[in-house]
Amino acid sequence: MKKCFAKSWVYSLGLVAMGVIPLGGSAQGDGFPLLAMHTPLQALENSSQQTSGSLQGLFDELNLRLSEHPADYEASLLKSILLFREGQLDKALTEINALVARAPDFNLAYLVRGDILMAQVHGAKAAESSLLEHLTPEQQNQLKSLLDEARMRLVGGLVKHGNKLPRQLLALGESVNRAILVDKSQHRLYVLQRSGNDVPPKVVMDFYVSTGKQDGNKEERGDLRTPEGVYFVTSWIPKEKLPEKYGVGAFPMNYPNELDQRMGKTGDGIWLHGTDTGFFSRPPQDSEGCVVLTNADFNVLKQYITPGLTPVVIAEQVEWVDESDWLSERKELFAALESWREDWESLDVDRYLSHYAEGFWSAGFDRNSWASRKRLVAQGKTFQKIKLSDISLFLYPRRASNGQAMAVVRLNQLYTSNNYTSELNKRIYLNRENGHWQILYEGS
Amino acid sequence: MKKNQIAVLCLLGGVIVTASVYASSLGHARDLLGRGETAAALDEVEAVLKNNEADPQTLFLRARILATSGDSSKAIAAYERLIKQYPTLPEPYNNLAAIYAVQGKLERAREVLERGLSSHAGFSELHRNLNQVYLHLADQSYSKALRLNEDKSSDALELEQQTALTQVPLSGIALASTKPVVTKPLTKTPQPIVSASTAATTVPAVPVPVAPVVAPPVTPPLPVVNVPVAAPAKIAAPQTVVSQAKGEVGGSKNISGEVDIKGVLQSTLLGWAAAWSRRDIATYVGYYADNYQPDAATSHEAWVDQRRERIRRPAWIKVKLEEFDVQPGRDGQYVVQVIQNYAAKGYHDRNQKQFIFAHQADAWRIIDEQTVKVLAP
Repeated sequence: MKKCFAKSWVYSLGLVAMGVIPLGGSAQGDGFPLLAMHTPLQALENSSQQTSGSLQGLFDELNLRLSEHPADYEASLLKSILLFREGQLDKALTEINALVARAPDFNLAYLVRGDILMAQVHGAKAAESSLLEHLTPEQQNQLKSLLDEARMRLVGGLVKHGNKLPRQLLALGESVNRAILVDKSQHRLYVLQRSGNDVPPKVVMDFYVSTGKQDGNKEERGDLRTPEGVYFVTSWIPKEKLPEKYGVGAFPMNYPNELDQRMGKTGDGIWLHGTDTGFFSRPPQDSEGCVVLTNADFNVLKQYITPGLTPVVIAEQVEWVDESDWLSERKELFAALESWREDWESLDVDRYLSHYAEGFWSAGFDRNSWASRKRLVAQGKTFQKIKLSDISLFLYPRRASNGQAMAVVRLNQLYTSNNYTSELNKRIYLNRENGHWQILYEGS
Repeated sequence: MKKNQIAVLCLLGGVIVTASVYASSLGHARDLLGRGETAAALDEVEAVLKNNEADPQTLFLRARILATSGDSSKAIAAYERLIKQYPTLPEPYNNLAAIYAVQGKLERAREVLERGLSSHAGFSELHRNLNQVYLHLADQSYSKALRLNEDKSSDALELEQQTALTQVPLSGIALASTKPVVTKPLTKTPQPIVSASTAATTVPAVPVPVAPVVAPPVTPPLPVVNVPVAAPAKIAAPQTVVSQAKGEVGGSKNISGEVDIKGVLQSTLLGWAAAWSRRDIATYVGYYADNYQPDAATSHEAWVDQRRERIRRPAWIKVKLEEFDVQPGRDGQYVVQVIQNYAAKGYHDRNQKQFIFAHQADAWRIIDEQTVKVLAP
């Protein structure tokens, strides 16, 4: 009797979630935080993005996550929420009880548990927790933050990109091997792994992350925004050398990068880091600009990062596109690089310089001084050979480049000539002018 | 066949005589418990148990005495024993859960109540208490989610307790009785014994031992029903549950057969305080007369709204009563003075209160409530 009632209540919630019945007024949801979460699943239903399809598919996915990483607390949380929405209250409670036992600081898990317990109360359709009814404004904000986190974890954790590929990452060199993508709008961090020479990289892990308190792209010191762009992890700081609020470790990144500096952006100390001891996770928008993971997730992520090498692309939205679109953009960029390499090898300095944008700069050079130097150097050459390898290609997040189509290349360049030989790792920024990719910055 | 019948009747006679003796002893023990003399009450029930070691009503009272005396581990063992022997009785589950709840072991309380409900889906008291446990657990979980209150003491929850068994398996008394006091043979031809497969019965809603058994020892014989212990018992009439919530009106009598009004009003007020403490507004209001008004200017409805608002506002409330004084008033009413300790999150006070109770609609209800004196907390 008790179970039936609760079941029908949760079932109707499910219908609300699926958009089958409209959410009538607010009376229905009073006191039930999870009821306020009809939007993410509805968004899932309506979105063009693919979920794993059936509900069973979602459960299979979560069980797989748990079998691969038993400490994947988010998978356990989402499983419990799905069970709750399916009306399987006992199973949902068992799952969430096991979760809070293992992650006793996971505030959101306690919120979900509260709702599941509340739904067990006989006749609880409009049952109210007097505790939730009498929150101070500050506590109401805390509750809202937890719901935001739940929403983000539901969307980020259940939306799958299927066969689509991230436009921001078009190639991964063999030494770089892995890249990090951060989607600020969905508070999700993806780890992508190189899978071969002409095979697209694969998402191997994804995590919920907290980002800056303020919306938008970082412009200046103290604006509490997370920068958008193509960055690289520069170093590793262990727990022992960090204040407690950074949790189990930190990876500083090279914000402001060459483009940011060129654009006059200020500030520093944009890191990937863990969570304050005593807290499991933080609200979606809670940092001063850093990208924050739970300590458990950070410890998993740590294995995938090589300081000095691993790229981190941060975008408001990672663009997931069909493989054919992805391949054509990749092809176009590779062709531009190859054309630049050939023209450079040809010893025809004008052909070579035609690949450089008007606004080009490098350390100590602008386009003119760069041209003069290249002309001078070319005089002594009888031949030169350039070999490019280990190429990684990133499309720059649009908003971060003021709407321009831009790309970042990281490659290994082996230069040999009659009088000089060098091998170095280069970073090249390109922008697209008049339908052609041109070099905007070159440095090593 | 005849031999068998006589044997059963011997037993039956024993039961009846034993019953009357035991009823008065039990009544006495209850009375002692009501006065807080738990040691004496325990002696009394132990004496009864010597001759009737498996009697559920006595075992239940013994468990209550142990619980009241604060020996929770013995009380838990006593309730567990009852549950093991009489798994179909709902009250032991209920009271056992109440002990765990007050210790803050809400998961244990929940498990015990669920267990009780698995054989007693219709026993509303178990449902009510289970709901209380779930609400409390939910609030605990919410407060952990928001990191509101790390105070461990808020884990404790007071649940409504049952004071007597409403359904006693008669066969339990008869067959478990190892040392019948009297074995006077009966000569009259007995009525056919009803077989287990064809009959079930409900015991009178009034708890068996409190009403002195006045049946003559020979005729007519009590209906002997061999209800298997595991058979689903019939659900108690709803009025019984309500009257218990209101303090066993008309049920609690002392040995001389007079209503123990002091005990009744005391337990009524304790129930009132418990309802207030768990912020159960419906039950709380039920302790007052239907037309209760705090003063001429406030309507009953306005008062209920006001109370609802006040009772719900704090995260938790604890009301403790002490030093009961019951005096007869006019028109059969009673005046109760008591010291009330009220505590809510961030506030507490201590007042001398005075209640006037009138007997209305089968229950003692509050018709007037005053704070007589504000005491130092």
